[in-house]
Amino acid sequence: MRTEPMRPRPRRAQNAAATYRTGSWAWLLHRITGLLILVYLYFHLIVLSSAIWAGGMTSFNRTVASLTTPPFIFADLALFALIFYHALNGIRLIFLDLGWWVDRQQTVFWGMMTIAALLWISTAIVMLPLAFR
Amino acid sequence: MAESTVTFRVFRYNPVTDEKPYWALYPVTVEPGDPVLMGLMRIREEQDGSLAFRASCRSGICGSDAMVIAGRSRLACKTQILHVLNAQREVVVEPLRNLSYVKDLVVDQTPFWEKFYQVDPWLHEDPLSKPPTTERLMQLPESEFDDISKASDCIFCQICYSECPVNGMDRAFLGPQALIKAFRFEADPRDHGTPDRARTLNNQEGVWKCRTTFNCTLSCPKGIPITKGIQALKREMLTVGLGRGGGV
Amino acid sequence: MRQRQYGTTGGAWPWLLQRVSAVFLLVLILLHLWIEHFMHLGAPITFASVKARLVHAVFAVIDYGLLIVVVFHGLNGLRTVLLEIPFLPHRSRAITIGLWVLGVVTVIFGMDILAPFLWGRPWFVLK
Repeated sequence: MRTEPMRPRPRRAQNAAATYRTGSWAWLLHRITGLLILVYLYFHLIVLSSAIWAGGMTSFNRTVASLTTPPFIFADLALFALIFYHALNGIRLIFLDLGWWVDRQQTVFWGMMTIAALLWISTAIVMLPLAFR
Repeated sequence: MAESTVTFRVFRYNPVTDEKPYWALYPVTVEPGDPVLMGLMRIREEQDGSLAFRASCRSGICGSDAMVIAGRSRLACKTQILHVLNAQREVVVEPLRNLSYVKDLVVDQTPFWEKFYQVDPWLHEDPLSKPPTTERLMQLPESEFDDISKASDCIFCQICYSECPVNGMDRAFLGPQALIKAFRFEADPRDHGTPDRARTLNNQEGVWKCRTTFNCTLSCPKGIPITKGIQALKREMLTVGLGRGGGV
Repeated sequence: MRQRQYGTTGGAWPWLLQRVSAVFLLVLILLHLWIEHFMHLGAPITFASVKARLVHAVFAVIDYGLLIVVVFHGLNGLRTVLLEIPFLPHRSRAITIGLWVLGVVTVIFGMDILAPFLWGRPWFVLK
């Protein structure tokens, strides 16, 4: 018998990520996208309100115009990706809660992801020309 | 039969002598079809009698020998050595997750059993019925039996408890095993225990903490559709939890 | 054999409302994204265009409804995340109350943004 030292680890649990499979990754991503969208929501409200508070109509127009420049269009597309993932996986979660297709959750997950990808691609096709005009 | 030699990389820890756990590596000669449990028993008999692990029936019935093999919680008696070798021809064997290890591969099961008893896992009689004076039959119609038959197969191996990432984060979560046991009785038409179980099921650490990651369903060695049962429990607890005394 | 009880009873309402708000959000978010990005694709969004749109009750209902539902869904989701952090659950009441206060403040704050379009000026100006 040989022995080897072990990297220190917590007393109770080994690395939890080792247990992750489709459903767990879906859950983790759902959580991360949800938190990011929440952070965005507050940015959204703060940017719009400070634009109006700074000087009403004119500063609002100026701010919104700067928000439709190419860098922000790309940022919008990233936001769309977060929202589409969260929305389509959310539909899957509601299906699960209703007891629909619980035995085929992986298929449902990838089906939903396909729809999300198609939605995002069509959004990109519509929005990207705005960034390059 | 082609014999070959593999290495067992085993998590070792003796609370009396060791400051922290370490890996022990044992060469073991195996044949195709040999289960991990056999390797461990050979090590204990031929190389190191101090190796501690739980095992009993060796046929996937008693549920004693669950451990983390090659990164996933499995029954050592149902897992073939040659299926779980890594690139170095090693079998990595560790104790279950989400329960604290006591010695080598043995974990402290106390929280698991505590949570199991929390759901009152027995058939509750109708409190209004009179005690029977004569012998009586409590049979289930066949159609009703189908619903609970899979959930009754649980062998308490604690693999689902070990694989559930929510259990890993939140030590108060009841866990898949207690919930599927609760489902087994809640789905039983003879049972009247819903008001008693609602306290722990309609609970922030009960059904509502399940995040439907399906780790339990995918890892259950008996193929119990655990998540499906928990989802059914959620729908049942909705009718309890939204009413008076449901709390927030 | 009754041992110590884990957790506090309840939790059905937040669970159900999260799902109900999610269904509303699916509709409202889609409408919001459609209105802001695609309905007049390429045309600049201006104060005047938003104002002209919000005159119609349908658009005002979408915006106000979205504001309330999205804040609820977001903060209720945040509550779920927070309550899963070890050692926090016994403070669940404080977290819940705190998030309710934050949510009400956020909704008032958001309505204040919509006010200038409908009444010509925000309800309150900080400076």
